[in-house]
This record gives sequence, structure tokens and C-alpha cells, in this order.
Amino acid sequence: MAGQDWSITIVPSGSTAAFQPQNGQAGQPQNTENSDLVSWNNRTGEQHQPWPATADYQPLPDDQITKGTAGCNYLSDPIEPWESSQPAYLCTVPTSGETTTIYYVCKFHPNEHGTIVVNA
Amino acid sequence: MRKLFFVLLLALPLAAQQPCPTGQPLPKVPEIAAQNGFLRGTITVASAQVMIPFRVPTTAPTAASTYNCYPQWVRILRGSTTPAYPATTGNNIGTAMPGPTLRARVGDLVQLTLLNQIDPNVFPYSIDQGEKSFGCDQTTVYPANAGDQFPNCFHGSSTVNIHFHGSHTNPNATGDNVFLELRPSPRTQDQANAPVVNGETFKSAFDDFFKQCESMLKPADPLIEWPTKWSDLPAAYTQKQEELLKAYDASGKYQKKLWPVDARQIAQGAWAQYYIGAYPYCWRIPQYTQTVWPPVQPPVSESAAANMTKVQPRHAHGPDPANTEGAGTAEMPGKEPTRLLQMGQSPGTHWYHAHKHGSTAINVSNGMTGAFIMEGQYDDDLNAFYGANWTRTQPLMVINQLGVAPNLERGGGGTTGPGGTGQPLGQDKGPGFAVNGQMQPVVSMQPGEVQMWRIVNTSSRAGAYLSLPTGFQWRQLSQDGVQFNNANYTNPIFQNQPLLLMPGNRADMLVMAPSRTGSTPLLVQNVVDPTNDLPTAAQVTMLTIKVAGTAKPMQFIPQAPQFPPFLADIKANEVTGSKVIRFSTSKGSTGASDHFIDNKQFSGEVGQVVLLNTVEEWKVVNETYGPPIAHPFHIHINPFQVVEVFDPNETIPDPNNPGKTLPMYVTTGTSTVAGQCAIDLTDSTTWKPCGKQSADNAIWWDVFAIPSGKQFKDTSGNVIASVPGYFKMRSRFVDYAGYYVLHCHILAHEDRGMMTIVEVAPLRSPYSHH
Repeated sequence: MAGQDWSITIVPSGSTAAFQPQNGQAGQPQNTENSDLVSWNNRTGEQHQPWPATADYQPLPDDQITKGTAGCNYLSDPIEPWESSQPAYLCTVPTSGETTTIYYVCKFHPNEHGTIVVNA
Repeated sequence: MRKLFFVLLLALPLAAQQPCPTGQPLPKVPEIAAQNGFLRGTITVASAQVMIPFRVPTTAPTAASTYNCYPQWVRILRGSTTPAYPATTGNNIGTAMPGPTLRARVGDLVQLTLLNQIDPNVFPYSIDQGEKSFGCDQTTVYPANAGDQFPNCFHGSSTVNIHFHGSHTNPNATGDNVFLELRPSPRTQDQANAPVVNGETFKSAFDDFFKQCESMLKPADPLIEWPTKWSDLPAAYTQKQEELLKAYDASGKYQKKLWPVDARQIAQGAWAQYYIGAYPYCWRIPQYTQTVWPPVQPPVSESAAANMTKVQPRHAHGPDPANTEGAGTAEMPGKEPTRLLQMGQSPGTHWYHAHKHGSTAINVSNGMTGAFIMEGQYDDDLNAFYGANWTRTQPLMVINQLGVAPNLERGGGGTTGPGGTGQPLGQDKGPGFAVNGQMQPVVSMQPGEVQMWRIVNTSSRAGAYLSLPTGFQWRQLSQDGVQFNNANYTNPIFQNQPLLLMPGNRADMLVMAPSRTGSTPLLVQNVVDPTNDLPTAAQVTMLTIKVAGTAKPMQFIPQAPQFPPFLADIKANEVTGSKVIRFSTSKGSTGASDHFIDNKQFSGEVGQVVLLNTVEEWKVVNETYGPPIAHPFHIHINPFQVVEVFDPNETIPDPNNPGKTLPMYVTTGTSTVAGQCAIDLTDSTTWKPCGKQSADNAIWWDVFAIPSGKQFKDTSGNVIASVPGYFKMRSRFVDYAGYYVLHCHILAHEDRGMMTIVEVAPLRSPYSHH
């Protein structure tokens, strides 16, 4: 199946913020499927920007960021307080079809991280 | 350890999807019903999570298709209804349901408050991005993959208005005005996240406004238009709107400002376009009270004559020039009528939906649609035969292809799968049809019972082709909210036939159950181009009819309800003007389809001008050749009669090969069989239907699918001629001047530019030779 839209909420968490998947708890992955759209709803007073990371949550350098095509890894522009993200992120799995996990951190707060699981 | 954690993550439920329930009783949609001549209530647009069905697999539907329901944030319509809707706010996940059914009677005054409490942040950045200069919604691939440019792109889906589809009324101000844009209320910036504008904010101001509106819009003269200017709205409302709009502009987030637009329009005497949080609708459903058509001017008393506003006589020839003296000015409150209502509102099954350009497809797919039942003599006659209040107890079926963001925003669209994978979908005509928000619900009948089904196809994309359920009989009572006359109702060619409802179409059907008990599916095929799609579209179950209990033998009403005189056939000698309107689809530079009317996309400029109270015949042409799309033509305010249809792709049964078909139209010089016609590819005057089509008893519509074109090719595959499909319609452009729209009712096409403005203009001659 495919074609759903998911909203991850950025919520206050102590002195920082956390990524809360739709109908889930902060720290859990956002489960999606191929060709779903994901956005982030910033419900904090600070700017955040989901940024692709390695599996141990190290942000990828700018030269490893791809934009504008299906399968790219750019997730969102900076998200202003109390706004949602753009562009909406299009989840895709590789042509080989296996389930993919996308790791990300906040570019401005690298200790804030989350995952998106894209099921084939 | 890390590996174990990963396994645990994958073991979590996949976003709580579940098989969609089927076999549930057809839900009754809560209603806002008129009382004592007033349709009063509040319609709230909100964001909520509801279970939305998605087909498994995503490819074209088959009998084996199933549906999984996912909790999805959508924009919903709810209202001050009885009974109340189940709560679906916050993280309480509700079931899908159309907006409240509106039920009123012709002649009633509509007084509805529209509240916009959408939280735009639960969607991808969806507040109208026109103010951020780049305009369109943005996803990883959209709009670059489509080449769309503002305003003809998906955008601004948290901004709404309401189109009262099928209404014959004032298209301006607080009437059926689709140009206004109501933005969502600001919200508190705390974890309560509550809308600042709520039902109480303007209650007092709107109460005053509705009271004044009632005093202005007297039932005796439904041509009166009020309000007409900004100062007619309560000061408490306009001042707060100015404050809200200026605060929006001052937020620093937007390059384009809203209040200056309103201020300019107000200064020009036009109706302001932008509002925030709440908007009042007030308009009268016009009742035609005369027993003849054309209407006859009643004797006027001397005192009344002294009060009449004498205006320039009109020079065009309308339905009856003697009766339309003074046409061209809206009737003013407090004055005796100077012209007569030419068309009343047809009592029947109409509907309403969000109609903000750029977001109609998303909003309607989300479920922002509802039925609007306008009662009248039609209901009285049915109830006189079947019993008191019978029509109010009968099933209403609001069908919709529920969904979220369009495929094009995911890199798909047309016949290509989403995700940029290029996965062919085959005959993808959108999601399956939900009925009152449910997949495959059950309608209960007793053996022999006759029910009246009001069916509304509110889908944004596909037509629903319904086959007569086995063992049942049905008769069509009306099309698009306009009742059949007795000749059509009793004509066998309209009885027990399949029913095609393109997006926006409605039909009232009298359905008779068989004498036996048991369950029978109502099968549907979803089609975008009926002629080309039907041979291969799978039949799937839309609902199940369960016949059980004691026998309840009933009859079809022998005669159609009394036919209103204003629905008399439009004769050829009434027609005073003609036009040709061309719809077309072609591939753009990115490979995505672009959609045009008269080779233009929507620009906010007037595309067609018609004089008020004139009658025109339009040839509506479809120059789309592939993939075939029968664009559903829709025009607001006035219904039309279809008097000629030419479908170059039409087929006939092959007399020599049972089960096979032959093209109805072949080229000159080709041998033909009975039923085939030859057209000369070098002579476009021969591109017309086989035989003569009668315009007598023509059915009234407000959405009609334009047959797609056909390209004839030589043996090498080279195109010799492109023959467009078309239909001809006649319409009376009467009673209400102003601006409204015509468009394709495949709403993604409309959002992406297949719409134009119609100006119905009063004739104000600067010269008189009398």
C-alpha cells in the first residue's frame, strides 16, 4: 500500500524537543510505505530542521544531500516555530524493494533525532 | 543490542492501519434542517484524524481488491446537527463521514455560518503559499514534475469556501460566491493550540447580520440581492476582519499581503476576497410561484407603480422581453419588483463542497462534501403517493473517492503510479467509492419495497457506472437535482438501465426490491472516459442490498411529480446567442498532462460573457485525444439541457461477432453495417452524430461529460485527422447577474487550470432610439 500522508510532531521535551510520530510516542519511528508523504509539525517556539543522518545519528555533510527527485534524502527546509515543514518529504524504497530506515537529526539541535521506516 | 532494537522497531504496528470494515449498515448523515423557512446553522471546517480507505493493491480495482483503512489527517466538514457527529478532534481517530446534509425547501432563506478551524500545521505546509511568492504546494517532486505554476497548481488547501452546487441563486457576496477565500483561524501558540476565532467570536454580529438579511431578502422578490457592499456587513465583523488580516500581513511571513487586496476591492465597490476564521452565508432559495412559463407580469397597483425603479429597457431578446423590462439591475430591497423570476430553484438533490481554486481536489477528496436537499412540490407529490414524510426517511448516498494528497504530489498521476517509480497502474481512476464514508455498506429493504435513493457522486475524479442489481427494478426520477418530466419518467429507455454518475452528478432513483429475500451487490465501475473505460473496467461492489423481513409490496408512482413550468424545454427559437467552448488536454514539457479551456488556463480573467436574461446554445468541445478523458463540464448557477451529443469513439454491437463491437463512425469509402455512419475526415461539417437527435424533453444537467476526441490514423500509424467529441447545450442565463465559473469537474484538472470565469452581464445601453 502507498499514498498516505503522515505528520510528525516536534514537541517540547524538557529543555529540548523530540520527534513524535503520528499516533505514536516520541522516540518511536514513523512507519510509512513507499510513496507516502511526511511532514513535520513544529509545536515549539524554536526553529528546527530535520536533516538526514547516519545510523548512529551523525548528520550527513551537505555534499551528500540530494534534492528534488524521488529517492532523494533532503527532508525539509528549516521549520519556523508553530509552522509545518516544506517541501513534504516523499518516502521511497530502493528499486530492489527492501524496507528502508531513514535516520535524521535536527540540524540546529543535533541531539534531537528520529527515524522513518519506509516499508516496501 | 542495537540489532534487537531495530527488530523491535519493525515489529511496531504499521501506523495502526486495519482492514476497512465492510458490511456495516449505511450510516445516516447528520442533518441541518430548515425550520419555519430558515436554514440556520454552523458548518465547521476542521482538521481531524479519520480512517481513510486505500485500495490493496493500488492498481486498478478488481473484484479481488480489498481496502485498508489508515488514520489520516484530513480536512472535514462538521456542523450543528441533529444528531451530533461523533467527536473526531485531536488524536481521537474517527470514521469518515460527509459534511452535514442540508435540508431546506424552495423559498427558504439560507443563513449559515462557516467557521474555518483547520490546523494547517498537521499537513505539509499548506497554508496558501501564494503569499510566499513561489505559490504552489511543494513536495520532494512537486510542482517541478508537473511544471505547474501558481495559481494553477495544488495550493492553499487550508483555505476554504463553499459552492452550493445546483443552486440557482445570487453568485455574489454571501450567495454562491466561489471567489472568496476564508483562511483558517489563527491558533494559540501553546500546547492547547486552540483556534482564536470560534463560534462565539462573531455570533452577535452574525445574528444582527442574519436579522437584517431576513428583512432585506423578502420571499416575494427572490431577485433582491443583499448584501452588496462591505458596509452592509456588521461593523463588529468588518473591523475584526480588518484587524485579523492586518495581523496576518504583519506577521512577516508573507510577501503578498491580503488586506491591501480587500481594501482595493472595497474601494472599487467589489466584494472583498479574503476573510479569516468565519464567514456568513445568506441567500434565498428562489421559489417560482407562477403556474405558467414565461412568467406573466401581474397587474401593478398605482402606488406600487409609483415606487418602481424604472431603468433602461433592454434590447436583447430574452425569454420574453416584455417580462424582463428592467433586467440588468439587481432588485433593491424596499422596492417593488420590476422584473420577474424566470427560473426557480429546482427542488431535488443538490450538494455543496469546498471550491477554493487550487485546493478543490484535495479538500473534496478529504471529504469536504455534503448533500443539500431542496424540497418542494416534487417531495409533496411523492409523499402524497407513498405517505407523509416518506421522502425524508429514504436513503441518501453521498459517494466519494476519499483520499489525501494527489498522486501528482507523489510523482505519479494519470496512469502512472506514485513514488516516481513509473509503476504502471493500468486503468487507475482513483480510489474506491465510499458511501457516506463507508466501504461497501449495507442497505436494508423488505421484499417488494420501493425506496427512493438520492445518490450524489461527490468524487473529485471518477464517474460511477452503476449496474441495475440483479432482480431489482429502478426508475430514475431526476438528474442533477432537476426532476424528470412525465414523458421521461415513463419512457422505457430510462427504466432499469445502468446509471452513469460523473463527478458532480446526482440522481434520484426509485428502487424496487424483488419479492425474494437475500443479499445482492450494487456493482460499480469507475470510469473517467466511459466509452473507452467501460469495456475493461472491473465491476466491484459499492454496497450490498439486503432484502429481508416481511413482504412490503409497493408500486412505482405511476406519474412523475408535477413538472415545474420554468423547466419547459428551451426551444431553438428562444436561443439568442451561441458559443463554442473548447476543452483540451495535452502533454506539457515535463510529460505531465496540462488542461485548458479555449487554449488557456485559469487566470482570473473573464472567459465568456453572456447577457443577463438571454438564452444561449453552446457547443462544448473536447479536443483530448489521449489518454481519453471525458472532461465533465460544469457551470454554476443555471442548469442546462443537452440537445446533441457526438462521441466519435462510440461503438455498436458487431452483428457478425456476438460480444464484440464495431466503431460507430467510420471514414467515407469504408463499407458499413447497419448502425454505422461514415464521416469525411477532410470535411469537419460531417463530424456530427448519426441521425437526428431530438431536443424535445431534453434532460437538464449541471455536469455533463464531454466525449473525448478520436484520432484517425493511416495504416502506418500516422494521424490523418483529429476528430473532437462534443455536446450541445442550451441554457437560460437568467435572474442573477455576476461572475461565476465553468470548469472541469475532475477537480485536479480544475485546480490546475481547467476553469474560466463566466460574466453574466446586465445590458445597460448608453443609447435609446425610443
